[in-house]
Amino acid sequence: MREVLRFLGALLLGLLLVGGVVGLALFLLLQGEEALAREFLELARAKAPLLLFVAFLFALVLGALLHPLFLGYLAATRALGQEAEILLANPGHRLPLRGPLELQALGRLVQRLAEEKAALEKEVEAKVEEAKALLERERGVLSALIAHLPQGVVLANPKGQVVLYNPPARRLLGEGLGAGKSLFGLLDRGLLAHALRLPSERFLTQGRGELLSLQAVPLKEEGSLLLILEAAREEKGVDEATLHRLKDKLSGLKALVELWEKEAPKEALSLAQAAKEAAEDLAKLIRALEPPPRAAEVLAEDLLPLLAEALERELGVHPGFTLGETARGLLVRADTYALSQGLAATLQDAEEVLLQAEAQDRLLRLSLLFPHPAPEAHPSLLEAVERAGGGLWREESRLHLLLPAQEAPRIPAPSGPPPRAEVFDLSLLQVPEELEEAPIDGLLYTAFDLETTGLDPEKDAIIALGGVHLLGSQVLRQEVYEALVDPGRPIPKASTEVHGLTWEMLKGKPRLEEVLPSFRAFLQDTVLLAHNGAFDMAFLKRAGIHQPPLVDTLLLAHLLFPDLKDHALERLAERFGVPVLGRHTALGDALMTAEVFARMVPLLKGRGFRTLGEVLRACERLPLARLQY
Amino acid sequence: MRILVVDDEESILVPLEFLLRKAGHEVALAKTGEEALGFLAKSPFDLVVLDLMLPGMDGFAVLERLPQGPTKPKVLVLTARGREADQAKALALGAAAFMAKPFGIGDLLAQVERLLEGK
Repeated sequence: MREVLRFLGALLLGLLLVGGVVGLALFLLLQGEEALAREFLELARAKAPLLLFVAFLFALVLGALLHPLFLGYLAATRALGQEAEILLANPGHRLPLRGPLELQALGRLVQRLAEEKAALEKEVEAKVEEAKALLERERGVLSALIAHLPQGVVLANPKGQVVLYNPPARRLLGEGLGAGKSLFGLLDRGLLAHALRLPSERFLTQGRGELLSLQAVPLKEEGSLLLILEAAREEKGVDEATLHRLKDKLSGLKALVELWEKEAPKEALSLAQAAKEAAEDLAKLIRALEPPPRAAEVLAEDLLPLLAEALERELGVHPGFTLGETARGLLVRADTYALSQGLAATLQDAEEVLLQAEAQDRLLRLSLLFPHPAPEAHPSLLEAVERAGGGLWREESRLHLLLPAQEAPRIPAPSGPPPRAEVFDLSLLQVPEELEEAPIDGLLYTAFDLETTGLDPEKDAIIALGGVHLLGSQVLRQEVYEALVDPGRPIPKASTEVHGLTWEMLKGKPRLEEVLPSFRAFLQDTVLLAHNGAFDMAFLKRAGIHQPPLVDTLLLAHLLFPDLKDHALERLAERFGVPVLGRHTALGDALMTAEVFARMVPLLKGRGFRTLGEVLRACERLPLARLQY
Repeated sequence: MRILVVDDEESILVPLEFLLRKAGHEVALAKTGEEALGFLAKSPFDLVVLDLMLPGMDGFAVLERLPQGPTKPKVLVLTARGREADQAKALALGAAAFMAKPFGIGDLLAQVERLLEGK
């Protein structure tokens, strides 16, 4: 209906426009020509039927022109738009193809786009489903794993609300433990704060009915915390009181026997001597008995700030502390939490205190300095010090604590991210019956490198082995192998210049035959990967390891960049933006080879290489591959 | 010389008494810290052989309460608590020497004589 009105409107407008223009033209033409105008009017009046016929004809033609435009194109376009809208709700809807050809073509295009969109949506949906299923499976495995752990495990968010826990955790902490509930209702907030500062240590605390050993690990990335709980086991071994009774009794007996031996009449002398020897042996045995320490160890540098923090938290005092140079690096035996609680109880009324730590033989002397006579030690402090195997006494305005300590082994703290179990996407790993059919990015590889005393596999010996695993193009940096080997002979200067290893440095290292079993185990079930690997393979073969196939990054470089000149490992590393570190150490080169290969994989796939077999065959065709060592 | 032996273990008191008497000393025996302090309050001793683990008041407490001044006896701590912390604490509290149980009577006698030499 709207189209009809618009059509009539347009027709009228057209007629008015043309009529107006003709009228205006005549009016302008005939202005000032009155005779001519009169004559023209006469003529028009005489030929009025003819003029009207022409005007009608013109209106008809204009109508015929405008009709399809308004009643065909416009209506059909509007209808197409509305039909297309249905597609949004029902992607299966078929558009009726009506109207002019151009519009029909447009309709077909819209239909195709809609179909493609539907297909795409389906695909995305399938992918999402697949990912969900995978996630569900992994979650299943993870929760089964956590559920079967003998330890209690609780994961809580930064607010202390429980996100996840396993049955042992519930057994240990009781029914108060539940998803979404706060941990602080179950465990002492101070203890948790304290334990989080020493994530590798275990602390004793009261659980539901039994004593718990608790370990709290902050998960930095997530800001949440992980608790590992276990029922505190009674330490095995002799307890201290029994041991002391034993030593007391034995001392008496031994002294008696020794005296008797001195005083014994001649005929009993041999008996007395035997008794003395037995007592001597027994004393030796008992001296060797040590009650097991009942506290963990903590670095002196960590202990003082921890105690100061605890005092601040518990009492609101701000103790200063000084750590003597000699005390630095001492590993102190102490249950830091029990100690801090004991100190807090002792310092209830103290307003000011200074902590001073010094090394004293194999002890840490921790002195508390007060501006007044030192307070009496609280029983809980005595117990904490006693449990640690230490001692405590007052001396006017000082309270001295002695805690067993030893020099910390000089092992540099492990750098890098905190430990976590690696979870691998094993769906990446696709090893069909035929190894050669496996996709190149779906295999487990070992990138490896050897350092040798020279270049001749027949005469020279292996002195270093390094390797790292790759899953497809993912370098598994935590799965590395490194071994140095004593070649049992001097190393020529020329090769020392390459790898920096001399025989002196390697004396005392294991022999190759001692190292090989573990290296073989490291290589097992993986595809070997090396740079200029024919050389290394020749050495390995001589050592009895023959494990084809070999993927060689040198050959791959020739395959990928046939026109580039230098394919040395460093050049490749530079080319791929791999940092060059530890060059010419076996592990350093193995890691570099792995990283280079990881970056070659997408290029190889881009060139159409899909399976290991295709890559190996292409490499075999390279002239370089015919080189033999 | 006058020696006070403080130990709750009868089997130690007996041989020590015998040994020290034989070496020519005057020996008194106490089985608790309180008893020992009682002896010390009555008359001065040159040496106290002191066990650390005593029923009631322990050896450390006895050390802290010893008579001061010229009559202060030397103290030889003889204990089954042979830990370094105990030794350091005993020495810090004024003990002159420290021996861990089990001990040999020869060593003990030598140690006693060494301590008494200074007197």
